[in-house]
Amino acid sequence: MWGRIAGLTVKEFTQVLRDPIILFLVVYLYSAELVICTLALGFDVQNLKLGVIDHDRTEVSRTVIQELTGGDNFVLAAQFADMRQVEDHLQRGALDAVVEIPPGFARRIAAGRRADLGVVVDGSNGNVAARARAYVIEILARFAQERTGAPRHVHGVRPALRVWYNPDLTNTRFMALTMLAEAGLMLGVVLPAAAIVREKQGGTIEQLRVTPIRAHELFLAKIMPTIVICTGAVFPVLLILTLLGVPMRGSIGTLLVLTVVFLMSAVSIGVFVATITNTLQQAMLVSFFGLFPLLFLSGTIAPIETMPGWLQAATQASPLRHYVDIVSGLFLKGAGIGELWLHAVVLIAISAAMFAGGWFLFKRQW
Amino acid sequence: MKLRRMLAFSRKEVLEISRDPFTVAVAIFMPLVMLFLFAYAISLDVENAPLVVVDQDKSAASRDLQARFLNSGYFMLKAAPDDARVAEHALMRGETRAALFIPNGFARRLSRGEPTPVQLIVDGTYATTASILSAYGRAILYAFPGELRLPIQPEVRVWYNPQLRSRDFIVPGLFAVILMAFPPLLTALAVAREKELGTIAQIYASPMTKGEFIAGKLLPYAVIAFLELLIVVGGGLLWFSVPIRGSLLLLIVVGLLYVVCTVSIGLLVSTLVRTQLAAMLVALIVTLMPAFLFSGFVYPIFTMPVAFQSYASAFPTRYFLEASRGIVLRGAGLKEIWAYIAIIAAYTVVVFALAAWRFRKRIA
Repeated sequence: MWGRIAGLTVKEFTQVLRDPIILFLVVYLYSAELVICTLALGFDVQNLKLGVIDHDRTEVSRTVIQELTGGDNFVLAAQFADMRQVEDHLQRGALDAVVEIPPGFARRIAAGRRADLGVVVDGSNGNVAARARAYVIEILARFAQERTGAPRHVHGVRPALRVWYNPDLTNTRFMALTMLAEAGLMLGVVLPAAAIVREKQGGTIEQLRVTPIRAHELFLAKIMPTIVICTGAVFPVLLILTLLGVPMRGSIGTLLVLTVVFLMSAVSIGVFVATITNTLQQAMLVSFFGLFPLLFLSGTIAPIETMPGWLQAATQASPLRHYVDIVSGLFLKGAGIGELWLHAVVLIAISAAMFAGGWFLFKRQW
Repeated sequence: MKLRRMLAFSRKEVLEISRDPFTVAVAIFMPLVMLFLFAYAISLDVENAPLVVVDQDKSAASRDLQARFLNSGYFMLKAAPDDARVAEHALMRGETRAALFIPNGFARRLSRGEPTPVQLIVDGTYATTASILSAYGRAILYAFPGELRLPIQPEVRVWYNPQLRSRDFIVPGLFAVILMAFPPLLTALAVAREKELGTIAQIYASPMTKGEFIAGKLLPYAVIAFLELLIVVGGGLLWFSVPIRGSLLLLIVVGLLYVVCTVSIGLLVSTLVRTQLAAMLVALIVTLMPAFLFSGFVYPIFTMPVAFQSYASAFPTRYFLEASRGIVLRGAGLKEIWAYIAIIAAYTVVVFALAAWRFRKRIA
């Protein structure tokens, strides 16, 4: 039995290494795409374009504008005389937010009365709008506490805000780790699926069928190259991650072991795809678009806690979700197997279920 | 170019597609899956982020502060342990996004008017969530303990999407992404299959011209893509009741132009490759990736470095996305979006011409 598996595995390796397209895909996903996405998409939303309508024109109102545009959050795009002029700019997307300071603003503050301030945020880019609103509220709250109203001798709450694991609040580190995980998932699903379906489509599976090779032996040989290549890819990726400034706080041994566990779950999906499809085109379409739900439910595009409850439960079924928690735990938080074992258990359960399903269906075709 | 020959070729293509119910099902079903997942799964504002509170003071003031966090709508109480280490462990395991530490003597210091430190720790792993949570958390802390101390009352209105419903923002963007993800891939696979199976030699041998071939291939896939457009727009507007402020007709017409553009891109891809696997790979790199990541769909383009901003401008998705969001959310008309339409039209002409040119070279 082991001889047969070894022979088949050697054949599979030869086939993969001879295919320039597959090799290109592997190298591309683990290097170019990882670097491109990290460099291009890792930035926080800053320098939002702020329009200002200052009806008050006092020192206080100018200070408010200065406070808003002094940091990295907003840049002063333009001053306007009234709201009607602003509409056109918002419509064209030339502004992200507008602050309107009413007449008598400084007078009301000096008199200790409540001073209203109009803020308009362009909601057509939700990603920016939520941020703009939060920034405005924070900056005005700080301004209110520091500069106005309260008697000088009273000190308020002094917030000490710490951001752990990613102090400069960029997406760079998380994006790089996400790309590592996504490359593993894509290759893990597509490569074994293509390898098995190609035999089906080309009819060479008939030749395998008349040999003593059993279904599970074929599976094993088909998944070996993917597991070996994608696990090996971790080493150059570690180098790239170091260059991108992603710290490695956990142990590399744990990373390798959990990576193999994750890849097993990915290839189990690939094997399953291969059993339910007959042509390469079908396999490509299914794996290409079957990957989407797994990607969405991983928390890499939208944080999991913002999803409705039933979708949060569904994220448990995405291997990517568990692996992203594993790599961000290992790299950023310095977590170990003590924190991460539960993810490994779920990944093993997913692989077991998918392999069993694939094996059951494949037995009927064999 | 003879219309009859072209239509006969289209008919052959339609027959071939209809004999592959699997591909048809994928073409119709997957956009709907994407629509539902995206519209349900993506929320851009932060609500009810899990918060662990370590309250060592246990006074009326500390409970008041805690209540302000939980009533803000941004935070949800995950646990209230006495031991700070429990909170740290929860952060490490990713069970909570933030932790609030209220130290001993909080109420006493506050009443004496001494500086009163309070610590808020935010998990920075998800930078987007983290920066919104930090801003709101700080705002709550600055405003404490009373309304009297916050004499400036910002009244924030969100235009075009007052409730910041992410669906209203995601769905019109999704039109652009889905129509770039599926039609080009289907088209590229169809031509690559003819090459892989060798049936393309029969086309070369026939009197059919390259224009007839390309237009004949384009037509059925443009129809499928247009059906996808109708399904996605219908599903988005009816099921998710995304309000459309502009003209639906304008959206459909621009969509039709965009669909011809994406199918042409698929044709161009197919002239560059010989196998289906390669077709999928190239489609991944030139259509799906840029459509999803470099279109402003989720990641705003202006945050990218300049080089990548130009990269994003090289693909038509961002222009249709702008037009689609403009029409649906802001009620923009032809006057506001004509520039985007012109760019998409020019793009289509160029891509179609390139595909026709590349195809001739193959025959020769």
